[in-house]
Formats: sequence, C-alpha cells, structure tokens
Amino acid sequence: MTMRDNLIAALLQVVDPSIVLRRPEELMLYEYDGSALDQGMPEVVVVPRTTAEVAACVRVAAQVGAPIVARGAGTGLAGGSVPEQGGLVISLARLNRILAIDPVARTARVQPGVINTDLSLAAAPYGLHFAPDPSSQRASTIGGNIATNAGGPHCLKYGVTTNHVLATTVVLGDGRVIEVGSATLDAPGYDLLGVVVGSEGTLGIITEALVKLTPNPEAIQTFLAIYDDLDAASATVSAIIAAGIIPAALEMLVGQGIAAVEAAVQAGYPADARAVLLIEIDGLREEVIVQAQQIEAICRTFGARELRAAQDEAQRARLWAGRKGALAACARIAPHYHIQDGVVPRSRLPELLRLTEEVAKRHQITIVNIFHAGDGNLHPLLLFDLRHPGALDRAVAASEEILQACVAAGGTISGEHGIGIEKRDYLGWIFGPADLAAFADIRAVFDAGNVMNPCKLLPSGSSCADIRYARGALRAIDRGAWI
Amino acid sequence: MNALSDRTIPLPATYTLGDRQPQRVVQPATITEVGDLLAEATHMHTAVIPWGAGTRQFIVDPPRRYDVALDLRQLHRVIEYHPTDLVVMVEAGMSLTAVQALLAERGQWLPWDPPAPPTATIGGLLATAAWGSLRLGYGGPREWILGMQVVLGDGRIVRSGGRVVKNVAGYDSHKLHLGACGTLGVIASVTFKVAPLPAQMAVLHATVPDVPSAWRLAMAMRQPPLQPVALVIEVADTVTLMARFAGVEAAVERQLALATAACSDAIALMTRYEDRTLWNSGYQMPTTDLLLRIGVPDSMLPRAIDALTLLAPARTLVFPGLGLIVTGCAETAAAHLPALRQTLGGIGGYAVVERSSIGVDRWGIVPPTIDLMRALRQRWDPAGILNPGRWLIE
Repeated sequence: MTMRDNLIAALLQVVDPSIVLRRPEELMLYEYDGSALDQGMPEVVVVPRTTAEVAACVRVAAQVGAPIVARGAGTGLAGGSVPEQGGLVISLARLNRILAIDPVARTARVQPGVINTDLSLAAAPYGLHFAPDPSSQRASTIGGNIATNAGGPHCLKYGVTTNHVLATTVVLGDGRVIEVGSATLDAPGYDLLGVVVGSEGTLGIITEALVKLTPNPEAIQTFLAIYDDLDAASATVSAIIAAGIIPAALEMLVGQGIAAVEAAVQAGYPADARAVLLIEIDGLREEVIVQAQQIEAICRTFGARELRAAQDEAQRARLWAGRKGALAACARIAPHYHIQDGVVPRSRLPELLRLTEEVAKRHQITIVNIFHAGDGNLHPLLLFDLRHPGALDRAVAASEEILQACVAAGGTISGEHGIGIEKRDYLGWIFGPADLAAFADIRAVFDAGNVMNPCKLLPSGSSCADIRYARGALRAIDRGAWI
Repeated sequence: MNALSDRTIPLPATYTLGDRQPQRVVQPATITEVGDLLAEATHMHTAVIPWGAGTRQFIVDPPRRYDVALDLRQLHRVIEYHPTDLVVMVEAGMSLTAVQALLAERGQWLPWDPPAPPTATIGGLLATAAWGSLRLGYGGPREWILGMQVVLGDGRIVRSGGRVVKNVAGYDSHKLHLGACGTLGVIASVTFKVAPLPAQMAVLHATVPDVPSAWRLAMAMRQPPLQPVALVIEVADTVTLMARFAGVEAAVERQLALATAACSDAIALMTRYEDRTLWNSGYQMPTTDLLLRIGVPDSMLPRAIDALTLLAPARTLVFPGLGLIVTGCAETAAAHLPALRQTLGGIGGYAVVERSSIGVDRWGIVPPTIDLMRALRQRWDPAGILNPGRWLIE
C-alpha cells in the first residue's frame, strides 16, 4: 500500500467518510491558491465539521507521516495553502459559524471558516465591525486572515490582524488541542498567541478564534486625489503623515492600472491620470472636519489636478469598489499575474515607484502599482502572458529586483501576503542564519514531527530538504496511480 | 569568567535581590558584548540577572542563584529615528522618559504610560509587561513594536520583525519576550511605531458615592461618541473615576461636555485641559507591601471587585475596558489568596502577586501550555542561566 492508501484507510477509521475527498476531480480544486505560480496536488482532502474531527485527522496524518496543509478560502497570494508536498489538505470551509458576538466586550467568537465580510455584517447591528479588511475580504476567511496576519487598506489606522485577535484554539501537529491567548489580558505565561498569528499553518491549525470588534466611526470622509505627476502623489502621502494625520486609509493607484480599473468597475477614476490617491479619514465628526481641511490644503499644495470628495455612501462605495476590484480588473491588461508585497519606509516611496517603472521597461513587462501608500506597502502587479516564451522568467527577475530594492531601502519582503512558498527563499535577504535558526526553534517546539505545512515560511534549505526529497518521491508514485 | 572583565563595575550591593548579591556587575557597551557574556555564562552555568534601572525587579521572586548582574544602561543609544516614517529604533537600556522626550521634540509620542519611575528602561518595562491606563485607547506596547533584537540565553543575537510599519516575514517572536521577565533572552534593541501627539488632551475626575455608580459611569463613558483613551476607577477612602480624552480640540471639548453631563451622580467633579507632554497618569499606584494584578474578562470586573473585599485592600485601581485590576493590601491579606484565586478562576480570571516581601505563590495557576513554554526556554536558554527560579518556569 502506498502512503496515500494508508492515509485514506486510517482517515476512514476515525472520521465520517462523507468528509473525506479523494477523487481526482475533487482534489483538483485544492491544487492552487490565489497566487499564479504555485501548484501542488493533495493526496486527500478532508472537510471536518468540528475541532475534534480536525484533531483526529491531524493525528492520523502525522502517524502516517503525511504533510498537513490547512486551507481557508484559498485566496492566499504566496502559496501558503498549496500542498506542494502532497499529503493531506484540511479545508476549514465547514467550520463557518459565528459562535457568539458580545457587543459590550466588543468581541466575537468565530470558527475559522467564517468569511471576513460576514463577520462585519453580523456585527453591524451593534455598530461594530472586524477591522482587518484585506481586499479579498468578501471571500477570505477569518482563519486564513489570522494565519497570514492579513492587512488591508484600513490597517494604516486600525492595525493588522494580530492587533485584533485575543485567543485561538489550535490543533498541534500531534493532534493535541490547545488554547493560546485569552479573553483575559496578561494571563501568566509567554505570549504564544503572538507567534501563532501569522504562522501560515506551520505551528498548528486554528479551529476557533476570539477576535476584537471595532466601533464604527461616527463620521467618514473619502477623497479621490488625481495627479499628473507621480512624485507629487508620493509627496502628498508623506506630507499627510508629516502633518500628524493618520488617515483610515491612504491608497495609491499608478499608471495603466487606473484605466483598467475604470474600464472594469467605472469607479470614476480618470483614465488619463498618472496617479490617483484614495484617502479616507474617519473618527469623531470634528476630527474629520479638521483633517479634511488639512488634506485638501496638502493635496492642492502638492499639485493635485483635482480633488473629489465622496458626497454620500454610494459614491464612497464606488471609489472603494475601484480599489478593491483592482486586481481582477488588471486581467484586462494580461491574462497572468504575479503580485509582490514589499514594504519600504514611506519616505522612500518615490524612488521605489520610479525604480518599478524602470524595471518594467527593462524586462519588457507591464507592471501596475496598486498599493497601501500610507504604510509604504507596495503591490507591484506584474502582468504577462505565459504563452509568450520567457515571460515568466522575466516577471520573476523583475519581481526579485524590486524586492531587493525594498530590502535595500530598509524595508521588508512581505507586508501582508505572507511568505508561503513564494518568498521563503528571500527570507535570507532580511534575516541572518541565527535569526532563521531561532524561527526554526519555535517551529520545532510547536511541531516536533514537522508535519504542519512543512517547507513553508522558512527557507527551503533549512529544515525540510530531506522531507521534500522523500515526500516528492512518494507523491510522484501516487500521482501516477490516479491516471 | 573572563568575558567583559573590563566592563565590570563595583557596587554589587546596589543590585541586591532578596538576601543575595551578585559576585560581579557587568555593564556591556555593545550588543555583541551582551552576546559574548551570555555565551560564556551558558558555558559556565553562571546565573545572570538582566538589569535595567532596577525599578521593577520586585515583580518576580529573588533569584535562586545569582552570579552576575547584567546592567544594560550603557545600551542607551537611539539607533534610528525617522519622524516622517513614524518609526524609532532604540537600544533597550534607554529610559522610556528619554525616548518620549526625543519624540516630543518632533510632536510625536509613544502612547504608553506605565506607572514607573522616570529611570525605567525600555527593556525592563517590556520584559515585565508594564502598561498604563492609555492601553484602553491605544493598546499596549505589543501593538506598537515593529521589531526587536534579542540576545538569547545561549548568546545568540537574533532579530525578528522589521523597521517598517507592516511586516509578515518570519514569526513575530519578539512578542514572546514581552512579560517573559528575561527568561528567554535579553531585549537589546526595539523598533517602535510612534504616533503624532494629539492636538488636545483633557482629563475628568469624578468622585462618586460607591463602586456600582463608578461602574455605571464607566459604562456610560464608553458609549459612542465618547471614546476615552484612559478610564480608571480608583477605590480608596473615596471612589473616583478618571477619564481622559485626546484628539482635535473640538472633539475633546464635545466629549468632555458629554462626559460631564453623564456625571449627575458625582459628589465632586473636576475637568482640566492638559499639557500634551507634561500630563501625569492621574492615579496613584498602591504603596502597600502586597500588590496584586488581577485579570478577568472585562464584563466580570464587578464580580472581581466584590471578591476582593475579603482582602480589605487599601487602594484598588480598576481599568474598565481592559478587565484589569491593580490592588494593594496589607501583607496579612495573602492568607486569602487561595480563596480569591478560586473565585477568579471560576470567572476566567487570575491573580498574580506583583509585590510581596514574604514567600507567597506569585502565580497561582500553571498555564495548560506550560510544556510548550518550557520547551521554548530549553531551546533559547538551555543552561537556565537567565533569572533562575524567578518565573513560572525554573
């Protein structure tokens, strides 16, 4: 019997057969995530309904020695939920209930498969929302948001996911179920929750979470500032922050992307603009009035061609639809994409934007920048057509060049998408061998058997070279068996 | 023990903990020197007590072994400060007061107000998880730390996080050192996100008849549009509620007016606009021999306050919205700790002893994940040289 046969037989002994998926056409759905470049076929997929079922599946897979990959909605952009080593994918799609909302404590207890937007909708009657708002929020899950420490436009003011998680239930690689964090602050012990958030399924599988809800602001004002000059748009970003304003969101779209978004979404972005800024401020109404005046003055000083203020909620929603639908809109430019996620200090944005354009020219590739300017979090979207010879190589080369420049500017390789498969070999650009060894220590403490999402998040040369070899070989055999 | 012999200073008596003095006191001038010292200590099994300004050594027991006091106050440099990027990187021996003074020059601050003497260092405050009332409005230091450099117990110098406001590369291992009392490593440098100073700050003090009315008032103060950045109920001879507001002038003014209107029960009421940099925390920490920190889910605070009556506290500070209480009692009240802990355990809470001169059980509970914590300490401080016998794990 192959490892796959063993795994399936063992799973069927501990869980209901209806949650075990094994036909090739079922498995193919779990082969990829939102990144274009990474794929891997799982050997088995389970769709458990309880923490106990997750734990039972993990225990069985660990005994067989199969790698275990947790999956939310599969919207990740770094290959984190792609089963590149084969093995078992645990989909958390059925663990999708909001268990409780406490409007007084401003918390929600949720299962990991709850969709981000659904939680905010459920909290809306209490005047609350879940603050992390990745652009994928209409599809991505709270569990996935926690596993990747997701950001979003509004994390400029409200913080990223890790700032909004109080506790999680975690199934460890040996099937043990633990609770990290607490509804009670500062309980004795190390802050294990702090490393679980953002661990991309390498420390365990999150099966329940207690998250903070944030009161909706009393007033909101959204602006679209339109520029004919890229540096002027960047300078506006710096000037707003320097004026002591922390906007709720401060987004930038550059060049060709603006026209593509306009064609797809009709958000009201002028197609001929060189850059647009989407600026949102919120808070008490007096705050919004004062800051709106400051922002108008700054935009004019730095040469905005036009500044439009959303007059009502419908206009605001339209401006945001353009931003949040930008990635999809760019399919109009080319069929394939590779998106980067580097971060630089805000003051270095102008030079990085110029460099991006220069790199695009040199590698004969289209690059659109749609990004979180207020955070210095760039999202160069590299667009290409895989049918053109060499297109992928040119895209990867261009992408690496941009990331290296981010690192050289004092920044980092990922602001919110995660490391996964895609950036694991770049980790050495920002961390030394001692740093990586300390990360590996954490992983070994949580997952001594090295079964939880192996070979992700840390450089492939570190802890998992041997496993990759062994599992790769097994997978080839199994795959052959399905044909 | 040869490492850093030229950094050895006299005065071991100043570093007394319990009835123990160190054999020597070392003041390293660089992070590399800290690494050398800990590597040697691990090799020699020498017990090392990391030392900032020594202002919060009392929050854990004296060490079981004590060879070296590692005074980190020479690590007091500002490594980088980029006001336009709202980021500052400092060595951990710098005092929080000095960091705040630096930031204030550029109209910025770290909204972190632990009640500690002005000499208290960044490293010591983080290692002991010090926090203040602004945590309600701004979160604790955990939310403001972008990255850290730490010397692990075995001398390895490691970094995590980064120098930009968003970063998901690697594990956020710096969070493990917050409140770890130096049992995993010595915090060497820290990068913080900072904030613009609010345009206006104001405080309201209301003296109220009793604790229930203070609690009702606190609840009212948290209803939108009110959003106090700090809220403290102080229970001593009288019961007072302190609320602090910050933001643009007009928004602070409206909140202050609404808050004042909510205080119809108050026996006395005082409001004051404050200097943005010279304001004080607005409450007094208990000075009693026994000091407890109590945590419960926020809604359980009234029950926790009730449970405290048993200990006849001299001064209690309640932090609505955080679920935290700091209370000071006579040392004799320690006899009631087991009963208090049992009650608190029943509502998802705990009581930790932050100051005591007699040997009491500091923690009361053992976290169910203690084995993971132990395994982590074993990896990073394999010889157990850092603060032996002082924390949850030997």
